[in-house]
Amino acid sequence: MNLLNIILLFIGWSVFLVVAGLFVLGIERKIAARLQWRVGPPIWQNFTDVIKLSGKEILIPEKANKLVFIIAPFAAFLSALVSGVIIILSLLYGKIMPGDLILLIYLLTVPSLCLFLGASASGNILASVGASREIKLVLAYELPFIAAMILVIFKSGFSTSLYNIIKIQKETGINFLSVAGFLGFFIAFLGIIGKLGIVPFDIAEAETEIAGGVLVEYSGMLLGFYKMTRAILFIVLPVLLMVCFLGGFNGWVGLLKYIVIFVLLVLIKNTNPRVRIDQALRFYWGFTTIIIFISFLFLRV
Amino acid sequence: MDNIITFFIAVPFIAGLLCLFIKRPAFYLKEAISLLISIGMFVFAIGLFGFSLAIKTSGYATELFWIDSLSKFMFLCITFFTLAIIVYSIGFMKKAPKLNQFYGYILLTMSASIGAVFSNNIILFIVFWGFLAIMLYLLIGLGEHPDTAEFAKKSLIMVGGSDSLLILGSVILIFLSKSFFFSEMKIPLFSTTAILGFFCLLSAAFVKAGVFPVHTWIPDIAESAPVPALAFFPASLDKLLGIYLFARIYLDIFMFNPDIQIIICFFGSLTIIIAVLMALNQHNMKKLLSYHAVSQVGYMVLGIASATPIGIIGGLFHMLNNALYKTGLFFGAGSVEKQTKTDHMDKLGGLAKYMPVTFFSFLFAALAISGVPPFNGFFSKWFIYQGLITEAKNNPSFVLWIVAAMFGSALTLASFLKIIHSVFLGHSKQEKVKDSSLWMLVPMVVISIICLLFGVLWWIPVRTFLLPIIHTRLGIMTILGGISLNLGIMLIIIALIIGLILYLFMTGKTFRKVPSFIGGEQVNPDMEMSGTEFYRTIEETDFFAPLYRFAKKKYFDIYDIVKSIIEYFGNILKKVQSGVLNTYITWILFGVIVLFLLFFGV
Repeated sequence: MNLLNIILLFIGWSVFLVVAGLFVLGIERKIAARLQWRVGPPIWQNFTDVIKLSGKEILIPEKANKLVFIIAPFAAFLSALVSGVIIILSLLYGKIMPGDLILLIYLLTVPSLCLFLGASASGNILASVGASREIKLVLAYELPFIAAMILVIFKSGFSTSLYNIIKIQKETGINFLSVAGFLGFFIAFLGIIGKLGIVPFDIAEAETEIAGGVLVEYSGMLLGFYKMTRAILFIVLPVLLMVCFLGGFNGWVGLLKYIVIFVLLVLIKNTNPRVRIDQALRFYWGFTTIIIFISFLFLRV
Repeated sequence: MDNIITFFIAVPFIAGLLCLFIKRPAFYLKEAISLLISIGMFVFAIGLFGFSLAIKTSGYATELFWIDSLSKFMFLCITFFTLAIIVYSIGFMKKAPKLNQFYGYILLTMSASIGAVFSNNIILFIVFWGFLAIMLYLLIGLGEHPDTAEFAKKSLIMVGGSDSLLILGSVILIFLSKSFFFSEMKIPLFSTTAILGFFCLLSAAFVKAGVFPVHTWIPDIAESAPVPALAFFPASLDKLLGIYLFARIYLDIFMFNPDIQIIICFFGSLTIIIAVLMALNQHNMKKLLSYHAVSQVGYMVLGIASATPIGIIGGLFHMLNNALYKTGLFFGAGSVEKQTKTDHMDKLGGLAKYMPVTFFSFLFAALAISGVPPFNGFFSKWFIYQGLITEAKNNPSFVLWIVAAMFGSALTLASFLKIIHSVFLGHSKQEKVKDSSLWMLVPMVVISIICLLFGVLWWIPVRTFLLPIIHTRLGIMTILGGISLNLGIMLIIIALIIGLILYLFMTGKTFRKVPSFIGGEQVNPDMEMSGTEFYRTIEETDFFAPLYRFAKKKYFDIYDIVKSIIEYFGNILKKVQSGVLNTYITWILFGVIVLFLLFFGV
């Protein structure tokens, strides 16, 4: 695979990720509307939003550090893209990259890091409250999420490459069907809710209390980048979950698995109130972490 | 070869003594001497490295010195960091008092550390190691903080105390191996004597490097010592030397024992978590950094303790990386302190506008220490995780160490975001300042660029510096085949280039400056959220509240615990010394009677 090939693959799959992500978010809005007895926006509403945002002028707060404020959304967007492309390369092209699961774990925290830096650079008080919550939320869900990923690594013969994890599941049955794998899936799913920052863990944005928190000063295409980041993560994180616990993404069955995870996410989003940050910390570090460490005991079962 | 090494040790030693006697501040003579000597030594180190790469000697040992790939690598690191610190000090220590002592001690330290890494003879090693402790004490003592003397004393007691353990351990080593030379030792680690000796040497290495629970001198000197001394000792040189000693005793001198491995891993991961949690609630910039100087040691210890080739590479690579970015971070903190005259994060804010170069080099180093790809810290941590995962096949307890290490990395990120928010971004709380002088900026920028380069081109330092070390030990050549992340890095680089193109498109657009939106309200200073209070929630959760309470009471400080024990017994003994002559005479009489009865009565 030469360089040009990789560049083309990267660009092609990036476009796919953005389009698919925005489409999925559109469906999400539609389902949410139906659950609340509304008609809801059309499915392509998110495309319209992003295209319109790209034409808008960009407002920069007077006190802001301009460079960091502008670079942060780019970095968030690109890191989400890279993590998506890494998963796709090992899923569809059979690329063996040892240790890419660890790379993914680190790459997937970069969007949160960028949200923090951008919010902090904006010099807005509401944004700094949001930023503080964002990073505390990262700390909260990272502990169980990392442990769940380590569980997957242990379960798949100490291999850290996504390709091998899929391959071993093909040989010995998917992780989800074992006790440890089931508990691990459950915990990793909870971690993903935090990573996506949807209700009940949309603490960092919390429109009704801190007016969008980390995003309060963002406008125009910079806001569009964050929207697209969120959209890509809505594809990437469930697929990562599927790779780790459900044996990868294979054909229509794979799509069905994705839809199940997606519907679960949407249902949780629309039936729960927002929690406080200390409740989130207690939830992730207490109950969730205890379960994931218990599940290590069932590793050999 | 002995003559060459003696020359390497003697040159900085003589130059250091010379500097001590140049009291007159004129003509920058001390600065010139130190700069020339450190540049010269750095060139020599490159020469020695290149020379022996060419002839591919695996090791060279005589009665005095031992040159192998590990010690050559350490030599290169020591000279590089000394050079960086001297360049920085020329800017930072300008017009400071006792400059002759400062430069003198730095050069003497350099000489002693070169001696320590090259010595093959145990006695010689102890001499150099002890000399380093004194130099540490003297350099810390140059600070101008009111508590300087007390904390310098504390560090001398802790490091010096560990030196006595080192001597005890060395005696056991000599007794067991019947030899004075490191290169001839290979001791099985199963008998009680061997384990005792191992732990004696280990505690010396751990005090130097700063592993929990013997790390406490590092955070304490952070506020009082001058910044270049901090960047020199806890950030770079002590890490290098402590981890060097640890690697030597763990990998070379003693044989492998799985039970000992678990104990070491336990302390390694405890170091990561506890130090980083302490860092989260600090208000002083330098103190926060010094807690990270402690927590990062945990990674190196874990990597080397895993005893797998990848893990050892990771541990040593992390040692190099940590010395790089930690030096950069202390340089950044020093630069802020120099310009604003404070190191208290509550009083700082919004400095990124005034000090852009400092900010970006600090940001790079902070991202590197938090392990954000593609910076160097990510790759060394990645190696360490790979090593731990490989070793987990034999030992399921490793899951705890892996989770601790990875979670510690998230906590590190959090505490650096706190520093970045409250010092560089956020609201400005002080009047306009200028960026530091070029002498200070150049080392900072160079180090942060190296941090990025060692990440993107990680195989270059790994191949040149680290593989020879592993190769001579384990004879494994093909390990690099299994550890290739190149596709991932390539994707990141492509993404960065695409990002740059997108960014250039964006800059054509119009930006409009507007006041910030706070729900339509007027902002007054009380409403501003200080970055130092970010993690109050974490301090107050049920899990960590007791920990912070214990830390406040200094239950984790082994120095204070020992001190209170000694004071307790001292107080009991004090009651005997009442000062009343009659009591003394009664006791003496009583003693004489007892003696008489013992010797003559029976």
